Amino acid sequence: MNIINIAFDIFQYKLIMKGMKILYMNQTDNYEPLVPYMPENPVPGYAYVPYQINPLYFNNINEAFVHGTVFPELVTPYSEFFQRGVQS
Amino acid sequence: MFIYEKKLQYPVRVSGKDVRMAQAVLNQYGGADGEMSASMNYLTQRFSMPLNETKGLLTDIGTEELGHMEMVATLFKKLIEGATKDELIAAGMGGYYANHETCPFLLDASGVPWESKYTQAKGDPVADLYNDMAAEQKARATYESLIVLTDDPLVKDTLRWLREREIVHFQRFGEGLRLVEEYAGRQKYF
Amino acid sequence: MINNRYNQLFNEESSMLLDIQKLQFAIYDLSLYLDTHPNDPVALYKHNMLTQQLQQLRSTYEERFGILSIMGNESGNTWRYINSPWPWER
Repeated sequence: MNIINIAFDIFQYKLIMKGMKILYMNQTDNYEPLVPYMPENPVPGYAYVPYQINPLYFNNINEAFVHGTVFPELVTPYSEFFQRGVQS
Repeated sequence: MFIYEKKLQYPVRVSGKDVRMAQAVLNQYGGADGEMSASMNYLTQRFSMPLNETKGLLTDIGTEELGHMEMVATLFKKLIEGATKDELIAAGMGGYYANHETCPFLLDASGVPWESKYTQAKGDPVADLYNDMAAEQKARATYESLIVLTDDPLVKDTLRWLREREIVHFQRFGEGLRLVEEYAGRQKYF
Repeated sequence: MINNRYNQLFNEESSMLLDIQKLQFAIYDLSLYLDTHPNDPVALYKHNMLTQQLQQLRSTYEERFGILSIMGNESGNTWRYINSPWPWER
């Protein structure tokens, strides 16, 4: 293969990747979450749950099905802090 | 409108009969923190929600809880199906059998029938969402107790899956609460 | 021999139904997320992809094994909706 052909292929590839990046960024650039992750000025007398922003997803549907959710960060986030009266 | 889809949301399997476990599982069917209470709670509260986001959320979670009701009833039926007279009486389900044979009925584990007092529809969106978050936590705690009570890994799998759904519902209700409190731009303080 | 054929068909049906269950579950969880994040583009894109896959899988399943809900199109010559096994008998 001619070296010029290879260089041109690489140039085209880079151009396509840049174009896709611009397209992708345009789609997600305009995403303004309705509320922030945690409120900017928390006030006593209220309870706040963190608002998921751009979370990770399970790539594999089977894994998501077995775990019980498509978001890995929501999989049993509870620690082993509380003692249960009866140990299994 | 409600349409039925002829499948369970997650497969329910058991290794064998366990009448004592069936009685405990009935709690999640017709008990105070069970799936019936949850779905009736959410499906009635959605009528006085201010935001479209929360209306959609309560409708969808309420419908999912109806599906979970079906799963719990299936679990009960599979655990009690084919039990002998001695097994039933030993587990204390003799009276239940006389009344309902092996069909799931809306009672809790102590035989107290389901009442609408287990549901709440305060009409105030913030109070309702806090109530729903509490209901999800109660359901999660019940599932953890049920997981401790059984040795069967297949039953544990289904219960663990249902518990995970309760955690996800809690997160969604929390987000709904954030939206009602902050996004709706309320100026009142409670 | 006929038993084997029946078993094979049942296993095929069960595995296809399990695939539909998995897809529908992912779509359901994603719908709950979209209820509180209605403008998240990544989630919308994923939802579209999954629902297209589900439509294809559903039409294949419903054609071969009978409809899953009464709003489906029954292409057989009997009302296969009522056939065994029902979900709590599987």
